Amino acid sequence: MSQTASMTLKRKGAMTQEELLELKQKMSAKALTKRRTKTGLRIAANVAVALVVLLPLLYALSIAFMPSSELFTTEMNLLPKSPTLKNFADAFTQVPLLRFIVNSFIMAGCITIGQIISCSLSAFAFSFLEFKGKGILFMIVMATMMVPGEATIISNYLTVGNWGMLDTYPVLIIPYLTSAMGIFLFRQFYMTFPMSLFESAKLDGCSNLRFIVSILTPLTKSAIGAMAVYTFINAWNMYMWPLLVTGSDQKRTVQIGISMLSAVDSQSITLMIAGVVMIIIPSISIFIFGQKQLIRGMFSGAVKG
Amino acid sequence: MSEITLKNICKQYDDEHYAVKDFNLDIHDKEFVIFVGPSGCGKSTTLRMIAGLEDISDGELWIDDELCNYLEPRDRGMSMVFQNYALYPNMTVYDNMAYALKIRKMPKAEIDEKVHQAAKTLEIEHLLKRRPGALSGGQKQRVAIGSAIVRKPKAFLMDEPLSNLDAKLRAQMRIELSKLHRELGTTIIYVTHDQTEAMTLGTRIVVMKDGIVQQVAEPQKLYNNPANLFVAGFVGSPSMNFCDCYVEREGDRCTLRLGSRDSERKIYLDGVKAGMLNMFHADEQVTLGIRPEDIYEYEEAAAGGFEKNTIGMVKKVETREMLGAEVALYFEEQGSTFGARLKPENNTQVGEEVALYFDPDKIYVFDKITEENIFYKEGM
Amino acid sequence: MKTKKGMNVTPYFYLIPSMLVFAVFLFYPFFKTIYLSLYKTNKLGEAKIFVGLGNYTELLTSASFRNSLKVTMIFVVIVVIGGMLLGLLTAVLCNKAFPGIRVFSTAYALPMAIASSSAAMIFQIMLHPAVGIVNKLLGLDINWLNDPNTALYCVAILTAWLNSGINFLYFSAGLGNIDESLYERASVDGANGIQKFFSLTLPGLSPIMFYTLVVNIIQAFQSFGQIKILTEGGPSESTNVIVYSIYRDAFFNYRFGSASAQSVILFVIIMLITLVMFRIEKKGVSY
Repeated sequence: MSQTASMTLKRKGAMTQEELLELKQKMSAKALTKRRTKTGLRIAANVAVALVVLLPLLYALSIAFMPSSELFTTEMNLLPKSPTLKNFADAFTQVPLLRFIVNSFIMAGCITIGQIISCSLSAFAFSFLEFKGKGILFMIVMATMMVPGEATIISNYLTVGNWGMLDTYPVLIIPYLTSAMGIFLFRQFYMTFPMSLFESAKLDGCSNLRFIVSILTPLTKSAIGAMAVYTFINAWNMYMWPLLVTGSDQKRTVQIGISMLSAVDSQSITLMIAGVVMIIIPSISIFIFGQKQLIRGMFSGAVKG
Repeated sequence: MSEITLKNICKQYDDEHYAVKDFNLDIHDKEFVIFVGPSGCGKSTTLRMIAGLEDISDGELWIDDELCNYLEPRDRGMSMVFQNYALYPNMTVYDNMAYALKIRKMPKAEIDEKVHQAAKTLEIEHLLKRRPGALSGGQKQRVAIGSAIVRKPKAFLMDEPLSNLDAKLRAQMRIELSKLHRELGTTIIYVTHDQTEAMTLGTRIVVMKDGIVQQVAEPQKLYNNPANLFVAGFVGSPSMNFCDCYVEREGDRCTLRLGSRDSERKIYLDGVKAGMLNMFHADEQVTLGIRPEDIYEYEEAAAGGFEKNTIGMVKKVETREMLGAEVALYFEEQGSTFGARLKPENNTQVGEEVALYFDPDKIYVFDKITEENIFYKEGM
Repeated sequence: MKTKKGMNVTPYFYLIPSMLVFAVFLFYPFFKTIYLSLYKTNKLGEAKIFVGLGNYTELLTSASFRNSLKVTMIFVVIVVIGGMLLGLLTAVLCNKAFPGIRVFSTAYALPMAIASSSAAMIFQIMLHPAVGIVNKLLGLDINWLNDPNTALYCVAILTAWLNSGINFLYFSAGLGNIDESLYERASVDGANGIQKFFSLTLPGLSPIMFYTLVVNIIQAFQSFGQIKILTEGGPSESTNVIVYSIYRDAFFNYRFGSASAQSVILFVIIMLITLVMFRIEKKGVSY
């Protein structure tokens, strides 16, 4: 710092052309070093933090490829010495993992599609139509966000039990076919369109449903994308409700199914982690694939609104 | 006392494109320098390079005989007013104004005194406890300026500070800024795209286009003696009319034929101007420029005993605007609109014809290729 | 479509799908839970004996439930603070463009895509006393999940990690909303990085910070999968948060009445916290 100061203190007139050139070069080299150091530090800090954040995942990945004999040592064993795919193959034979994956896809897929349909219909009504009790109904919908799932889960369990619906697909899906957050998100987007858009469509003889399908849907692609990614991941990761209402391997979802692996025997840790890695892959892929959509949809409307 | 010198300042984002190229300027103490030009001309970039918010790609920035190219913004001793005011939304007006002083660890009592003094100057004392969110645009503007003047900076840098205000408020703030400049006696470097603002505020104006300085001059000189076609067209409101014409030598005289080479619509020039045209541009195509206010009605001018130098400029009126003190008539000339400001008594209506007279002393002629003002007087 | 009275009923058709689901699986069970909480039930969950507030007084006097409350509070505080700090740190690290920023942002947001149960199983191995990486890296020999002193912190840190992903997204969005020219003005005004962080970044984040805080608190109260898998409420009830206690009372002890009462208490706690927070926000709102 003091050196820089003394350099800048030199008088303009009292310098030859060469001195000036040298000074400029020195200063620009210094500035470049400074900038590079800054970027370098930033990257270093990010690498360090990212390693900590990703440690559980990287560790799981590493163990999934480890023969179980390698895991049980007191030595440091961060990476598998002789990587194997055996754990993945075994996971499929130990438990009906494929069945679980199919179940989870069916459940998460239906919930996602169902939520998008029901939420866009409701949001349409709340944004473009006039009816009695609109304000109160919307308030009630928003208030449901405050009710924790646990406050209703017992009664819901008893209800579906009474209906004899336990251990079926519908019981996994139906309770999650709408969401207050989804209605709010879509409404937030619909409100940015002027009422005149709806009115002119009506004048052109467009029915309400057609307006939703052919005009609103294309215009709210980013919201739908965000909803889809968010809902699918959450449904895929759901734990408590599937745990309560599924009893057989035929209907179990991955999250419940895989935790059964941990109970098999302690020697099969590597196998269990291989299973975990496999069921994480779908949700992570969808997340990475849809990250841009998710951010654009969730934060462009919500934060400003 | 502060001197700011920009020497061959360049800003390059990639190898080919220059945002600013070879910017040279000596800014003296207490000057009110305006950087003006259309958007994207590099004026804001230059200001931000002076502030230290943008890196200088090449050249030298001297502040009081110190080479400051790589000095951090905080060490340059400038204060800046931003286009969107940049008020800290979470602080009260008082804290906003005091922020720069608090950071510099000035004693509380002194800060208090300075803030109140600045607030008094700008008449915002009653707003000191409010937050920016509760202020109108004009009030925010005053707070932004107040935050800048509490310090005693080497120069104020202002980046389009009035462009977010409505026209009436802008005119009012213009007057106040002028007054403020006189009272503070500090250098101001001011960026705007509005030539009216530039002309009314600046003691010196730098006209820029595509990253290149077109002309540096005092307002009146810029108006009377533009360096090139761009400056001529940019400065002055309403802006100058341009049309193509041919130079024809007639002894000592020079004839400008409007439009085509054998056009019967012609303007005679005498004296030095004719000499210059005859010598360097005889038989060439040039661009003629004349400001709407330098065009007169033929009869009216004839009554004033003028030389008959404009022949056959009889034009059909396309649009007529009664402005009260004068009447604006618009004609078609070579595909573009030509405007004239005539006395309000003129009663020519749309569709009617009127004979025009161009004041020969106020005619500009520009080189067709270089677009330079052929009559430009160096050092004027 | 109009009824004879001229009232337009069309709008309600669009609400039917959502409202039906809400009615059957949210409103009805919500009130039924309140109803059940006033009864002693049989094993099938049928209300048998009306006890009024008996379940509640029983709970509030029971040492076990009071322990649950305490454990839940500690758990929520650690989860919220940890998750928000990690989210803030990562968001600040990715605030300015640098080479590789997209890879890092994806990495920081990634935990939000991971199921609590999957994460719990990974942590189970990481914290394994013999083979786990944590003991190996730190050179310790601690049975993390079986020690009442550490088990709660372990599940809390795991949960904080899980929540940090979405917090990163919230804070990144918040940082993006801060006007860049404010930072420029602060540079010219003479502020250094730390001063800018405290006088611009943090206050600039305060609106989204508040929202994130509310969401984090609500979420933390509802954590279940990781506790079920890692500790099952133990050792010696040190991780028996209310949600797990509800689960155990209802589905192991078949005490649906008491479990319902706990659900109601949980709901009331969350609602009170939310309301208080909104009250505070209204008072302290800066802009």
